[in-house]
Amino acid sequence: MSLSNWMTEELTGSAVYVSGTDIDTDQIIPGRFVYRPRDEGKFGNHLFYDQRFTLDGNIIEEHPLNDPTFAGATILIADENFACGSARTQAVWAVQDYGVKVVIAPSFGAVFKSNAVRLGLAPLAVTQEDVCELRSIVQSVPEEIITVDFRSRRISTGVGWSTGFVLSDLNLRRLLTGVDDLTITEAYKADLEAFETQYIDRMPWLFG
Amino acid sequence: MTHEQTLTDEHAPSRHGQSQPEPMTVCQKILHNHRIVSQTDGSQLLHVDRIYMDESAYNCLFQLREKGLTVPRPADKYLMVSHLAPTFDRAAGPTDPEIKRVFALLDEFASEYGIDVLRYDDDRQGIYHVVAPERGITLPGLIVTGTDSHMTSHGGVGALGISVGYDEAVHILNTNALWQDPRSSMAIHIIGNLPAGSAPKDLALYTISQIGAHGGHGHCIEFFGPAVDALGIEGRMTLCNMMLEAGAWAAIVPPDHKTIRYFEGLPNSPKGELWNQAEAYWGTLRPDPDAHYVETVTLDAADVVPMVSWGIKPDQVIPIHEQIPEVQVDGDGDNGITEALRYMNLKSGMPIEGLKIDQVFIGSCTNGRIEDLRVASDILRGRKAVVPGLVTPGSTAVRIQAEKEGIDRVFLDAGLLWGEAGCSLCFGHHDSVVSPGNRCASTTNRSFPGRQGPGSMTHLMSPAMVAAASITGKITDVRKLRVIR
Repeated sequence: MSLSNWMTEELTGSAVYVSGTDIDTDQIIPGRFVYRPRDEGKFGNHLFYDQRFTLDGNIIEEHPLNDPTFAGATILIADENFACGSARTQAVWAVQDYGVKVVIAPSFGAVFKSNAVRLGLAPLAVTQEDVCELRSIVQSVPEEIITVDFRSRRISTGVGWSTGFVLSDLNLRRLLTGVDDLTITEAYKADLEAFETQYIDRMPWLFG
Repeated sequence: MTHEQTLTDEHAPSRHGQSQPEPMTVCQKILHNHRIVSQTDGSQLLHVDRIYMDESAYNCLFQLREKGLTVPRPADKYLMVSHLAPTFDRAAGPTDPEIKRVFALLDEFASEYGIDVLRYDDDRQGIYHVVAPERGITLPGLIVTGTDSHMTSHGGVGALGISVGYDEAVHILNTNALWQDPRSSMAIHIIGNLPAGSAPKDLALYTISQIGAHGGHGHCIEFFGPAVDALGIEGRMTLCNMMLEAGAWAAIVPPDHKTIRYFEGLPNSPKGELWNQAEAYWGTLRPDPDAHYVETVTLDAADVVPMVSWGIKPDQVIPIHEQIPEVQVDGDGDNGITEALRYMNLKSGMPIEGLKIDQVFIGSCTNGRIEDLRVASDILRGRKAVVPGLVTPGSTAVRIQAEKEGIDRVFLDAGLLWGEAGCSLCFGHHDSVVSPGNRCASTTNRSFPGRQGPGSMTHLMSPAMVAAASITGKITDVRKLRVIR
């Protein structure tokens, strides 16, 4: 089951910045929504739910995702250690279902990143300075179109600013082709079988 | 704290067995031992020894079915009920239709693929970060994976614990292997002795306060030094458990004679000649001289006093005698202090000691082990709690042991509730929730906004400190309380 669209080599879109280092996945999607079924979970509606709505369900207008200026953004800009905390895969579902295709931040929670590349959400690592630049561009011109070029691993804006991003070859391949790990492993089937044989030999106490 | 950093990265990727290994860290040794193949970008296919799945992993079932995949070695795989396990009245079972649906799917998952499921009414049940080490399912030097984030806990017994998402879990179920991005090791040396009255949890919170909420930088943190050697196995698990909250990918205390003694005679530990073979492997799990650490941090355990979290991020933690910090704007922001003050309804300069609390919670994968409950009950013996509170063991085995020792009676006599094993109030979701605006002294691992329920306010501390808070109704320096024997 793949609900996501895989990346094109070049992606363009407007961006929204959500501030704060160490934003945890409990904020991205609160625990009470996590057990909903994937297909009826409406995970995008619950993205940053407790930041966007009061306990009585009223809209918190100051939140950037509630600001009509940034409606339709497909690029999320965030600070250091974005999506740390709980391993919940639902955090990627929530970001994706909301319509975001690319998250740009200095670093990511480890499980969020490994989930993202496997589900077609691009986690692009840049420096904190780059995030500051992008943030000020987006905040002064919200409709600014940002271009992500996956082949040259560069992010650029219409005002002429650009920077490189970090993404491993394997993760780039996952994002561009949608290849799943089982298919990647197919090519190493012989290695896997040979390893298992020698591993059982080497570590018999695990198989006693 | 002293701090050194080097900038070179991982050693060159190699196909297993084809090159002379460079000096290796403990993490690198375990990876090397499990490496099936590497790619040129450093990504590696690793053999996985175990996978643990909690309730939300029912999502894997649909992918297995749709892709027609098999699970070739179900004996290394476990489904364990923890997050949604009822805290009370297990005979009646859950009433919530969402939870009933999830439990029914777990049963289907288990029966279709021959995987052992530890339901809430199973005597082996609990949080797998507690259950797997205590039964010898997790063993030193293994790669153990799980769909919950606190897999770092297993590093306390010298295993490499890796958290995975559902897609990775499906791959592991089918191939016993995992594709892993390249990772580096970071060394934390803890010198000195932990003072009397300071707990492993205080050491964990102190470490996070020193390196920061992203100080682990996605590395494997390896712990060394006399203060780490002196910790019991439970304490090491508490320490490693919390390193996820410091942004570590994994954490490990290299196995030593204490670790080996801990596993002797556990239900799933190897026996006889197999035990000797295992011990030989475990003996190799020390870093080579000149092993490469990207960062090296040195901390002094003598500096550790009882710690309390005041904010909503893992590094918003202070010693009990300090005040809530001032807002300091440096360049780019205030590091979330203003927002934390607002959410936690606190003001800069207030002392944390004496802050009124509404309730307490003792339990979780961080502090739900028998040692934790013993320490808390020692504080509470012969005393009364003045605020409501809940104690839940991390596993049913811990509950049974605690009841054998009469620890449950101590909590009940003090006026606290004694619940069943599971995540319970650490994950305020179903049957146990902290009400909006209520302040909870908690032995758990996260003070995130809403973590114990929408609008809840959490102060993380050690089991002894939470017990002390329950007696006074305020955040209290446990060292000032006399132990009644």
